[in-house]
Amino acid sequence: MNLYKLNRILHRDLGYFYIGLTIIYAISGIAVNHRQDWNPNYSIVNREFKYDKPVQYNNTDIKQVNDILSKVGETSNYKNHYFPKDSILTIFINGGNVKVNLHTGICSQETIRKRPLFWEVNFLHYNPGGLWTWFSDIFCVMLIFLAISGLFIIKGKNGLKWRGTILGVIGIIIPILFLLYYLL
Amino acid sequence: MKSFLVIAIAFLFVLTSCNKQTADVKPVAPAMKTVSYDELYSNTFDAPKGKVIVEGLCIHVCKHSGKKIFVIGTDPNKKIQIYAGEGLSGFPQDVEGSKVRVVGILEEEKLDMKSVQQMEEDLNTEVKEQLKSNTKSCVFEDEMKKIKDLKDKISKSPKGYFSLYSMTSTEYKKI
Repeated sequence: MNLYKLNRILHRDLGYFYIGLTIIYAISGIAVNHRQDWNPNYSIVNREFKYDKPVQYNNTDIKQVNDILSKVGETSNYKNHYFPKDSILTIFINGGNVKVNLHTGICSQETIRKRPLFWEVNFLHYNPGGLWTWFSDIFCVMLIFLAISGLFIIKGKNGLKWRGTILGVIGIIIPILFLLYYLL
Repeated sequence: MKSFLVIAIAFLFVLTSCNKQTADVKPVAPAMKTVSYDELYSNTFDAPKGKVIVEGLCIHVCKHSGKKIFVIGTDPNKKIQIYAGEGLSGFPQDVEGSKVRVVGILEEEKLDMKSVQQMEEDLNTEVKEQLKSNTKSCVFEDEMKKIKDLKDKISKSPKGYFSLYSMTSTEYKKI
């Protein structure tokens, strides 16, 4: 078997093998790239409601907390509560929290839900550690191999002799231009 | 066929050569010292070397990475920032609102009068800019109060600075 053939076989099989990981990192990459605009892991919904009865600082029992939660049907989701300051009561519920303004009675409920698919791919992208570190490191090395082996798939003018070199050089120049633009 | 074998052998090698993945929730050793919030905020506390335990109510989990939480004791003004260290992939969102026992190593940040004055100057500059655009919020008043408290603590501290402790955790458990 000559080297060209071996290269093609390895490029093909590694390409097949790493298709899942490539898609995971690509989806997560897009999601995390735009984290200024959205939370890539959680969907957070805020809503307000009014609680008319007086709530006293450091003198609120579980009965009253449940009464507040009953306004939004969350009584069964109660976890804990505390007063971060003398004007605010924070109630933790499963999947979010409710903040009560003791002066105005205005309550703001924050509901937090995992974004399906994105949470999972981001979890892997952020590196859960252990075996995944090895697996993803090997993937990265293999990506380098795929990039280099890809140069030698096709011979002739559509390979490195003309098209491959031109497109490859352009692909290297573009990030260098970005670097110069951002750093100079 | 040969290349398929190469890939399969490489994959098997990785599977067999690595240690078993560390679980997020592990039993916490009871023999370690449990550090109180009063100790963390006292002027005379020296952080022990090695791992310690901090217990309290988790009031916040970072929603972006899950790598950071805030934990308080009975006084909400005394809190500690805890980072997920080696062996922890992060803190799940449902830790927020739960009582936790966290094991980790304390890290000290020394805040002296000079650094606090710099913080105050930065905040004043920000307030002036906000005033120009009429968007000043009451958050600044809270921040100013914190700076004033810090200055008081530093002036009373025999060390000449205030030690702000954070923790890098290796294990945690809901309690």
